[in-house]
Amino acid sequence: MADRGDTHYHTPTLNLWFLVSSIALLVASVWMVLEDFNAPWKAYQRDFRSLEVERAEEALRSPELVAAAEAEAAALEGLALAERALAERGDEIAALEAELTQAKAERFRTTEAAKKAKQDHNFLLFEVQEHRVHEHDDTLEAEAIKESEDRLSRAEGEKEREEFAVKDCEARLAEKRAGVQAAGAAVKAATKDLDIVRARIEAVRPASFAARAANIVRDQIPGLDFIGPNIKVRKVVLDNLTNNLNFTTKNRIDMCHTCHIAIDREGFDEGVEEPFRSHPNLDLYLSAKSPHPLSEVGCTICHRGAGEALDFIRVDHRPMAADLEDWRGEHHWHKQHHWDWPMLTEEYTEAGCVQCHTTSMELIADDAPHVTEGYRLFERYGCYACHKVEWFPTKRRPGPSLVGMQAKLQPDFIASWVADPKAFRPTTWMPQIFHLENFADEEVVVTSEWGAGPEMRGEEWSRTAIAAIVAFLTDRTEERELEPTPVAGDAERGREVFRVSGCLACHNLAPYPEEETQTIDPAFVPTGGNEHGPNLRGVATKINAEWLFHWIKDPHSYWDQTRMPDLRLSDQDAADITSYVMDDPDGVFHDVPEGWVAAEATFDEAVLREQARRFFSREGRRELERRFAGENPEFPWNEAEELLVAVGEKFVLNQGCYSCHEIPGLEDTMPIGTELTAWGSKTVDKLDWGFVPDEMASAHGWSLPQREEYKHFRENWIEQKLDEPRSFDRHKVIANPLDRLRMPDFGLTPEEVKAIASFVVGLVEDEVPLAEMKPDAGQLAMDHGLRVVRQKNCTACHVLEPGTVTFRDMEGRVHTVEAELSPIGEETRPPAQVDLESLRAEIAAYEEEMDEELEDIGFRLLEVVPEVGLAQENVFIPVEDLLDVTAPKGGDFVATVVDYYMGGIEMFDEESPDDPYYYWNLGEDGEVEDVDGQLRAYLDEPYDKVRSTFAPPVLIDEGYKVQRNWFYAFLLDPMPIRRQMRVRMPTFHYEHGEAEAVADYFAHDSENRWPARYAKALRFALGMEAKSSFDAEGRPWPEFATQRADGTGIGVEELAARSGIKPSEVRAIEAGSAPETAARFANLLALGEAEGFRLNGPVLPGSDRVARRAPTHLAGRPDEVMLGAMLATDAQAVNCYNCHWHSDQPPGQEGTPLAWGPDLALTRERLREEWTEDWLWNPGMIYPFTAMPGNFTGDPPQYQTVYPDSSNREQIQAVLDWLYNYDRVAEPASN
Amino acid sequence: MKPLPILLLTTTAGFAVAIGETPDDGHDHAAQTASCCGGDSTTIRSSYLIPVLPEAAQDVTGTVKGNVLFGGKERPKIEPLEISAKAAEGCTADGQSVDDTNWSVIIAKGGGIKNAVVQLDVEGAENKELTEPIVLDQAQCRYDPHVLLIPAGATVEYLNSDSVSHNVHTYSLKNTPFNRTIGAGGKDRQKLDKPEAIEAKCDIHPWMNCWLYVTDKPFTTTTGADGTFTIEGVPAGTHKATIWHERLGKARAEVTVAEDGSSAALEVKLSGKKTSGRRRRR
Repeated sequence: MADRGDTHYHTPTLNLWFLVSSIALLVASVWMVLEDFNAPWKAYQRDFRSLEVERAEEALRSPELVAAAEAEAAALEGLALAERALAERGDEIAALEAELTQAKAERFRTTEAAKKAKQDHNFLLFEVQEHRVHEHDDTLEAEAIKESEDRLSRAEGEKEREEFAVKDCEARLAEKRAGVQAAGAAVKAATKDLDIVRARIEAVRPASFAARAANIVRDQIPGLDFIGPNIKVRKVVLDNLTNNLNFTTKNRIDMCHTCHIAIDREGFDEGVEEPFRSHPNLDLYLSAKSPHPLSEVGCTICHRGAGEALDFIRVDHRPMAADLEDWRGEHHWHKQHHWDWPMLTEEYTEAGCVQCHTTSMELIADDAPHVTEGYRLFERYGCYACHKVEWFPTKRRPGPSLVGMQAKLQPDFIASWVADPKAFRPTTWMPQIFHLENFADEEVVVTSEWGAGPEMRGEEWSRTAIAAIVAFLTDRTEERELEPTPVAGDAERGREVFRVSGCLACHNLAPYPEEETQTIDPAFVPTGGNEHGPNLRGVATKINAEWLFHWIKDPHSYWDQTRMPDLRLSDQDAADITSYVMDDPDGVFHDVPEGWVAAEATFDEAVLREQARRFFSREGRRELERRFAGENPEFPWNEAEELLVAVGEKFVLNQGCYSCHEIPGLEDTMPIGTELTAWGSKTVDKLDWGFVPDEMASAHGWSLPQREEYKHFRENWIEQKLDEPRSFDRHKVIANPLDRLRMPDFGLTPEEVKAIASFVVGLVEDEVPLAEMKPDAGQLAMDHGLRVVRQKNCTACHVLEPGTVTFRDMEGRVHTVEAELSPIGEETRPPAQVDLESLRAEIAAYEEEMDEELEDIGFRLLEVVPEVGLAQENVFIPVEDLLDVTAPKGGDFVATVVDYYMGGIEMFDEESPDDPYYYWNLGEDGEVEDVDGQLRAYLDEPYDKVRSTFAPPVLIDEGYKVQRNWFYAFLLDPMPIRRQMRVRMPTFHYEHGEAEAVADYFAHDSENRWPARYAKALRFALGMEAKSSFDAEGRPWPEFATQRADGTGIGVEELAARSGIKPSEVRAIEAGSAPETAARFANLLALGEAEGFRLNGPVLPGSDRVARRAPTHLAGRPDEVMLGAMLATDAQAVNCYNCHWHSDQPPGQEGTPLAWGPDLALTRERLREEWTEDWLWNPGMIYPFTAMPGNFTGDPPQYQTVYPDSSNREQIQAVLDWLYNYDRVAEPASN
Repeated sequence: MKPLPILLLTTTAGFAVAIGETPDDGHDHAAQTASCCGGDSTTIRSSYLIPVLPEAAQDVTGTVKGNVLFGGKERPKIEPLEISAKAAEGCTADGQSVDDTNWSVIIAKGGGIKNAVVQLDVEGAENKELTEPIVLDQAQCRYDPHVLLIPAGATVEYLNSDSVSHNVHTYSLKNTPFNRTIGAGGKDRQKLDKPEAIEAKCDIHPWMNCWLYVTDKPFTTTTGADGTFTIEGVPAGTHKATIWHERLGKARAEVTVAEDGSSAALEVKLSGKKTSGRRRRR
């Protein structure tokens, strides 16, 4: 258009501008479309589609699916055959079909006729009734009605006949077609798994052209790919989880699986690159059946990062330190500056567990070992005492009470200890408080008298502070007079008591790190269990003898919160231990680290005054000088003692000593540390980084952005703080020394730093509604119970979980079974069961000594293992088929006890340098003192016998064995069960609810074990033959197993097929996996019931009761009780009294405690009846090393002279009747 | 293979019990039971081993003789068994007491060790399979014999001919442990498949013990009271010998039966179990 000149604008110019902007807009639009089309996440999804096809095709080549395809082909062939057969009979079919059509027509006609007849009849009835009412005559027109009724019934009869004709015709047709139908069903069944895979391929790469074209339009054409795309953003909106954005909270939305597309799907592990890999452990995370389903939990609640971003950088991904440089190069990685929640690196991921699992930290220990270790260290080091964490379950003061310290400690010890605890005991948990870097010995701490006086250095400052603290503590704590030890101690006997009563369960005597070990005594080897209490080396230089005696006798009277239990030792035993420790014939308890001396605290008066000036600055300079001059009679600080005490109190308050130690008068003072309840939610700008980042930058040659990046991650700060607690003071000018950092140095190892840091990073304020967690009473009890079990160190003495052996059998199946290794070759004692590596080393040592190759290695089963054997059977396999070995959980102390009984203590004799090692036992010929005071030797007894007689009992599945209420009462007030034992079950001091929690823990634990136990026994029983004499009333376990003739059970596949669940589910149930147990266990129960299989249990923790055979039972069959008594006590029958204590009477079998059994009078209150029944059937299947024989295993049944015509089962029932009414029936004639 | 016609196994000094091939007459020859008289009986079978050799190995056979001597410094103190009257109640007829001889270590004046087991590893030699179980009797609260040689794969019947209950408790590490009560007059049985020296004990009568020496090497015997042993019918060649005693430990040796059937007498010394090179304080 030409410019007409009448406008204010110039049209050609405008057109030009319009053209330019149009082009710009077009370019921008195209650019936008292309940019969107090329978004990285879309590229990932496209890549993934081809990966998916690849995987599906790979699956088609797998043996199972190849077999399925073959089956399908066969089935299709069958179908074709059937169809052909049908076609051949086409005429018959056609005739039948014609007949059917005809019959259907007739049916229609007769149905209509019947309807009409019914209508007519109803109409007639109405008319007639109306007529009758009018005429008041009920007999009118009876004939008409009769006729109508006849018509109706005729019509309905015809209808029925025709209906039958149709059905009959259809049935005949179906019969002819049945072959085809069956073949069709077979095809469907054969292709079930194939179809899933094919559908997956079809979805991505359809066969039909139209579908392919549609897919191209959907996904491949820029600009059109918004129409029903296959490639799209995937997200979960989490209703209950929120994101705190400082001023608002909003629901979390996670889109991570837009790129991590297979994250919740199985099978994308090996050979798959990120971002397409499956999440590890899908049973636990993300899959729908797991406790953390993707749709409810999302990703960022655990991993952090920005869930709503779709860009690699904006998501705030985080590399491991090792990958950092690669990431910078490859992904141009840098910290996303505007997000406060950077993703956690892999080593910190477990921090995410803490926010939800505050009530189940113990239960997640196996799955999140790193952060639970941090949690336990947090407790062990007593971090919670200074740093409040609201939900932290332990409140106890972690350090010993100082109230009676003057009676306990030798006077010079305290100052040297406070100055450097680790110098005396390298393994102590007490941190170093003084002489640290921000009070470095040689550096000037302060110029005294407000700059007018001399300079004071770190060394004198710290030394004086310690002297003041000691003076204060001495002034504040009581002087207690301890009564002298009532009996003289015998150090030699003390050495034995020390060993067999249990001291070494929690304490060890490991030499100092730089010292050479002279013996291989187990007491000198830290095992975990024996590191619960302090290493006692050197302890005689620290404490007073009288105090030690009273402490051993009753630890709680000295310190009510101590973990040290009361072993209920006699005065003589305690005196002997005291003498052993204090007289120290072995030179262990006076052995202190080289160069360590206890020295009295010294101080510098000028420094002390300066410290007073700092602490009491509010009093004013003049007042302070008056006090120093002795002019204030209330504060005579001219006397050093007075001033020391005053300054000492301030230091104790300043350092927070009272948080860990009970100090009179300071019991309720608030702790000094920062609260950590939500430390992990603190943004990094709120942390004082000091000059550490600058130091780091210059040490590592970082650029400025890198230095800033360091400050973006709170993990860096906490790690630095834990590693070097005072380092954030470096290079700072802090005028008042009291303002300096006070966090003590715990001397943590790098691993400990990481573990504690990941726990603290996990302390966030995100509110996770309890509804999401749903901890039930059982889980709460388990968590609490496990915590108490750990805090009381139960596992030092007791095995709570058996060790396992993994091996390949002759058919190539791999089993992991609960088992104990058998002795190697011709040894008589089993090797230590730690791990495969140490076992291999032991095998190698044996082979070298014997100069021959070891072919077989054996183990004893501790559980029923289908396809392998019953509990207590020995299995031998070629050494190369042994795949793995794991250690039992707990029981370190067992070896210490058994070693002593069977060999004595290994000692070192300096006086015979050629042959310095010898073994020591109390008796000259290797005897040990027994509970009755007799000396007896056990050197040549079988290992298993000594272990089961004298070592602490194993507690595997204890909740199934003992009654919960009895157990609870036993914990509070232990009594001797196995009286031959010198190891004492200690009397612990339980806080409110702790003993209940332990009892509940065992009950719940056994409840959880039952399904796996059931599944294994069922699988065993289904493939087992019993002896001929077995009266085949189904398969009651363990009676059935006791009479085993042959067979070791059926395979997993067979059990799966018979119960209608998947083999993987059977395996999961047998492994004790919770989700599978809940979902699929019912099928196994149903199968077991149908097969007549029975297994006692499960434990119902809520309703466990004190068992007693019902009185009616007793009243109805008193004979039975007496029969039981006779069976049990007759010398010709079971003869229980020969080995068992009974109502405080000793066993008849005098002479050796090796086979003593518990008091039978305890049975009714102590043991669950179901367990006792199992036990009577087959004790070896419960404890493979027990001395208790199988008493009712006879085939044919024994003891017929005592109980004529009885079966084994009847005998057991009779004995149970007797045992569970033991207190009611008259004491039977004793043997 | 063909069973050897006859084999002499010496159980006590100078007295050889002839054990022929079991006639196939359906009678329970192998299962002759011991009935009395403690560990020195000459009538009790202590071995159920009958060697079966491949034909080729039977051409030249010889007799291996020897003795097992105590080689330690100090003989172990062996006290009579501690048997309390209460525990032994019912074991024997009234007025008799249970034999309290301790059979665990018996060393003759000349140093010969009784009840040591000498085992030759002869290639190709197998045990004749037994058709009947071996009976181990518990009589008068002792096991007799003290050491019983059992071919691997045999079934042992534990018989209780006392009028009190016993339990047989084996601490086997290779075979399945056995621990069952056998009431007065009762019996029970167990198949022992794996070679192993098994100690059987009774927990009710803690002094009762014996050793079931299960072996797959048929040329095995026990020593007599003077420590001597004789093994006949040993094929020519050099064979490894293992000597075992329940308390005094093990030793290894070699014997050679020359082509003329002769062999040098074997003398072995046992000096007690090693304690890994360390001494015990006396």
